[in-house]
Amino acid sequence: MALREDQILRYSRQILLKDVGGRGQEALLEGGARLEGSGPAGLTAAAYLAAGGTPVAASEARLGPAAVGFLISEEDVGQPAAEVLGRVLPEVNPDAVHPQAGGRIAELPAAWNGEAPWVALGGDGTRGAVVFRGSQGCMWCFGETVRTLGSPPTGVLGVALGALGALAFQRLRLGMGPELGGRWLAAPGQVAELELRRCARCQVAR
Amino acid sequence: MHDVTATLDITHEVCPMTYVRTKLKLESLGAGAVLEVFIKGDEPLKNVPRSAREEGHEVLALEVQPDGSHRLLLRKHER
Repeated sequence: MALREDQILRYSRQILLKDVGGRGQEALLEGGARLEGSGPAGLTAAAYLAAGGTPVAASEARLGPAAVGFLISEEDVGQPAAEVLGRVLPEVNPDAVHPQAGGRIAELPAAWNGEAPWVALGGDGTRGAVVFRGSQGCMWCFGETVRTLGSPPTGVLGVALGALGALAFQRLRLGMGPELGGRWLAAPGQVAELELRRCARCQVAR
Repeated sequence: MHDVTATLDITHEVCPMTYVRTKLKLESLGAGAVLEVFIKGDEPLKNVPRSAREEGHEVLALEVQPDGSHRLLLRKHER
């Protein structure tokens, strides 16, 4: 696809980034993301992805009170996430209107299947965690790692985690490595490496 | 003298669109192609050659024109 003039203006600051450019922006627009979860982390990730040009489709799960924030109003509580995000995300970015097949970004606990990228948003009770996998990353190591994590944090840390998760998703969509990894988020801006758990096969291979 | 592959006039653009247009044009060209860019104003005169260098392109020439604008010649990197 070729970028339209209005898209060149909208995404100009992303296009300027060395690792994005016009081709990268086209890749962000072409791929979709499926969102599972309706907490601050998942909804922030959805907003960041949509704003960056990636169409987001949400699950049919109904929104709870914790979803209320800059995207979701109190009147939307109890409505299916897919319906509400289908209405509000195009207001963030009209390019996010038509969700397509693509990767998955989910708040833990979640089931994992389908196309990569996969980005898990979780936590350990005090810190937030992002675990990500591209199409070449071992899905068993990804599963072993996310299995040990709990739900993502709420509040400001959840919002920051969602932004970090969206960035991890975009990097994988742009073909930027690593294909498998994780990061702890102790506080907004305080990021540390998350050591992955290895599956039996990868342990032998090492 | 260099054989110019393509020409871009960004004299009517302002930052950051000056380098956005230059970058998109460079992406559309093959490795080693020479892009001729017409620039006007102090900011793009400083920023466009610098950004091009930072992304690995070669600045072949930067010449002032009779009307005060500048002609920049860039060779697209080989990567």
